[in-house]
Amino acid sequence: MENQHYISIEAYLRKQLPPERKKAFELKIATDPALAADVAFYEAVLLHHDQKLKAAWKKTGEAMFDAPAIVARPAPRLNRMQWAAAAALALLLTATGIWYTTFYNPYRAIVAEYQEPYRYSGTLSGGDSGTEDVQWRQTLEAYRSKDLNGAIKSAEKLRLSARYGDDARLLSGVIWLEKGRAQEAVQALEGVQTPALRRKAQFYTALAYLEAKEPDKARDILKAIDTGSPYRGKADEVLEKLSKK
Amino acid sequence: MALSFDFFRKPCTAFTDEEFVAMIRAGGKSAEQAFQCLYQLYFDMVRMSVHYHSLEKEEIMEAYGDALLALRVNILKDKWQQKGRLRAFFAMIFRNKCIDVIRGNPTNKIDAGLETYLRKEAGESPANPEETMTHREDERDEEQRSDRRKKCLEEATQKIAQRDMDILSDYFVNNMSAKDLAEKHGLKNAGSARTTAYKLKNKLDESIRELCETNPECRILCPAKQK
Repeated sequence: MENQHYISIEAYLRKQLPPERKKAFELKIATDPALAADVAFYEAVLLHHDQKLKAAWKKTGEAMFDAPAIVARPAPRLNRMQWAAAAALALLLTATGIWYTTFYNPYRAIVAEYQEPYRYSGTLSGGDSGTEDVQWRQTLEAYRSKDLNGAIKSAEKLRLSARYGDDARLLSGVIWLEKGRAQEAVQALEGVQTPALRRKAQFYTALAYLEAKEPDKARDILKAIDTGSPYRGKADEVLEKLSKK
Repeated sequence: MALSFDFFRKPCTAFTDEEFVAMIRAGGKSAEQAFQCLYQLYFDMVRMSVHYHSLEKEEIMEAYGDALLALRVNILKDKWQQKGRLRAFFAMIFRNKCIDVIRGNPTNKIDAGLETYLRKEAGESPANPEETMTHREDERDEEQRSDRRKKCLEEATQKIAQRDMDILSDYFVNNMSAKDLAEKHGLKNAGSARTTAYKLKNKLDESIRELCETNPECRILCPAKQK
């Protein structure tokens, strides 16, 4: 410290030296003019310093006299209100975290934009009275009347049908996607093999992967949709939107 | 109760003794902050001392200020060895200052309750309060010398502007760095601040020397040269 010399002088001036050291210091002052000059200098500056500081402290002290005392104790403990506030904040942060990881999906807007209700492209006539025909008609009626769970249950019965199996899987995939159940949608759609239905299933599988917050898998599928597919244009649009995210 | 974010600012009560000591040793603004806190934290000793009615409030507050200033130099001289609490160490100093005040005024009486309270704060057991009342005459002489010196030094500093005395006080007493000194007092840079401080020192030294030569009463400031 630059002013170490003056600390010793200050200890003397503030009467903080033990008696024998004080006497020794006074003897030194009496025989050393340079030290005596330093003591006089520092004493003058100290007088000014102390006067100013004590004047400020006096004002503080007068104001504090009637105020409640500050009790010196270790770091203050939280009171009830502060605990409640801290708990509320922790809960809010946790809820936000849960919402963000579980419920928030940055791709949901894209899925909603390109998702369409299922439309059966085949023909059903009143003359179809086989078991599978009846089952398929019931499945479609359930879907159209918004009985989605009923439609899925009904479609499940047709998974081994040569005629309606892929339609049932496609319909199930669309329903699962509408319900936000991405993994089930992917599972149903990947089973669709009929070329005509496969193109739609492929596009919807990509949407299902976006619903599952797996954009890389969605991109791979969208890029793989061939140029002859009626979904090539939509696939390009979705890829464009994904590139901006 | 409104929600307050004061929770996130460190209050005086959150500082440890070691932190206060480090701040005081650092000087400048840190030391200033430390003393502002300590003034408030230990102020209950002033209240309690006034409570015992043995001393006037003004005298106690004067002693309290002196004690804080003495605490500073004791810390800078490493007198506090961290064996006990800083508060107890301060209480010892404050007790001594209160006794100085009592000695200074013959009408003052030592109140046993005050003595016991301050000894308790300092961590000591109650003892004979008369034991420190010694060498009264020597101390009276010393006080007279001290008063004369003070009067002469006030005369010497009249030639120095208040702002210049502030610079000297900040640099030599508060251990403010040259950089902080330049910033606070609007000086060009750290080098310029240091030069200014020493120029002002020389000016004050010269003023004191002149006073010694012109005023015989003030020769007390300048002892005779070595033979």
